[in-house]
Amino acid sequence: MENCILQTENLGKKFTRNYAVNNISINIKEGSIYGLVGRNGAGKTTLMKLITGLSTPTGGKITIMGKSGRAIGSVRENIGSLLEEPGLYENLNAYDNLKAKALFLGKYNDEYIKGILKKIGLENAGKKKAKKFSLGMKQRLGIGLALIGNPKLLILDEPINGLDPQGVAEIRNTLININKEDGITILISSHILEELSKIATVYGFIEKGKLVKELTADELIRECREHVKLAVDNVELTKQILEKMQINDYQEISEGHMELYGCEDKISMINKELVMGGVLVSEIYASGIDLESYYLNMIGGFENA
Amino acid sequence: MHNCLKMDFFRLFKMKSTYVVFIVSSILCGLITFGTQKLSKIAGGKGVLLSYSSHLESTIGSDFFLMLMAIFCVLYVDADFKHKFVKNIAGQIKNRDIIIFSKLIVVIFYYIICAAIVAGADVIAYMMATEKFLLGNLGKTLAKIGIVTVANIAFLMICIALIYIFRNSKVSMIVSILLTLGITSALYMGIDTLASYFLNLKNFEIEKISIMTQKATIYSDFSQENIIKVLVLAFCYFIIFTIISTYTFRKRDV
Repeated sequence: MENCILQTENLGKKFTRNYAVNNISINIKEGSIYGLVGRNGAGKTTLMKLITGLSTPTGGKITIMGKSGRAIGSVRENIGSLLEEPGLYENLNAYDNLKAKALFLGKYNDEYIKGILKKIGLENAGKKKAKKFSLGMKQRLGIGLALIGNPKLLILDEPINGLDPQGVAEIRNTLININKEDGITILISSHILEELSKIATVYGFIEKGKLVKELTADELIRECREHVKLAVDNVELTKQILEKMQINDYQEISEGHMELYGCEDKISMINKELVMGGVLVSEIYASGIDLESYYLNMIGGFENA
Repeated sequence: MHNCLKMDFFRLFKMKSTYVVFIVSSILCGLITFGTQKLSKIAGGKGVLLSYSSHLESTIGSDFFLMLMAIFCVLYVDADFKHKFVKNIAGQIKNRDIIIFSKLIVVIFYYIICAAIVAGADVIAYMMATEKFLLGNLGKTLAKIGIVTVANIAFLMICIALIYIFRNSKVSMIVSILLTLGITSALYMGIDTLASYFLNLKNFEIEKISIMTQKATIYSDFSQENIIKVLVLAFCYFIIFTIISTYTFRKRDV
């Protein structure tokens, strides 16, 4: 697929009895921020480990930057990752942790490390050892380690887990800057959709090792925002009446069922106009859902399926 | 490999345990030399003195020195797993074996530097214990130390393999120390009994192929045949445990 930095096809990982990842196919476009949402144990970390090469798949195919199979080794350098908790040498300071990784990738120079420290907001960490860092500082240093080597794809597993609101905001801003300024594609996971909703451009919902749903940020907003649900006998006539009322933001969901957006305060008027126009209205009410409820409904739906 | 070595050497000199083991080994080995020399003076009178070379070969060849090297080896190599730093690097390399070989080279380097420091500490201790410096047959001693070093490196490769197999610093450390202390004799007897019972190997003695036991024979039997036997055994252990380490690291999830 054009502009796809990462593709998985029917990717699977089976442990003794259960599938941690079961036939997952995702496409991540270059420059996007892909939010992987799922509760603890859903398979997010395993999927990320498969992509980063830290775990071997039992089935399926991974294509990174157009390379798959053995050839994938040639592009592995372009993937930075922070999986589970940050892997830091606790007795070294931030600079030395970054230096160790930079030496490993042959990218070390003093200015480069200082640039990364500035990018992650740890330029003033000085000689303080990593073991004395706050959780937020550790997470930011973990992201800094992932950024060493100028990766094109950044894979972050729950980087905002356990952080206070200020820490969450700092990480979020760092990630947005990395994505916008450096054009780095990000695959980020969380079990809280609300947290991802502020940065992700595409969402993949994962449950019991399966990808349940994939949608863009616009589609998610559309699915969650306040709207008027309408059930009518004549959709075409309804559309004409709505347009006369200058209500143009609507969607036909299924036969006779529509959703109208941005007109929740005009329900009575809409009902009156439709009835007077000869439309039989069997259902009209305001609806809306917050992100958490949306996610829980979807997971619940998957469980009941 | 070159970059991996750069990282590992950088970390070597940043680790506290690097210096702690240097200091502990030089002080303790020096103290042993000092004490032994003093005792030999008391026991043997003025005419009989142990030479510096004989002290050196017993220090470098001692289980104690090897135990300190094994402790360092576990602390150093296991740090990648303990701090989970390995997750930052293992995914970004074509061939994970390089990570193991790089660590092995650093451990060998450390062993040689530490042996040199201990040799220096022995000189000081020897001179403090006695007025007369008796060098002894240094050439032969260095040859013996060379053979013992090869055997010790094979042993350290076993320790590295244990780290990759167990991925648990405490277990790797305990097993490595027990192996150096010869506390495994009971285990060896058990293996001999099992081999005799199940495989009908009546004269089987696993101690005969134990690197620790065979290494010690170098001091009593420095014949060409015994040297070759020890070197071949060390080489076999080295190859087997290198294969085990690399295979485990490649196949298991990080």
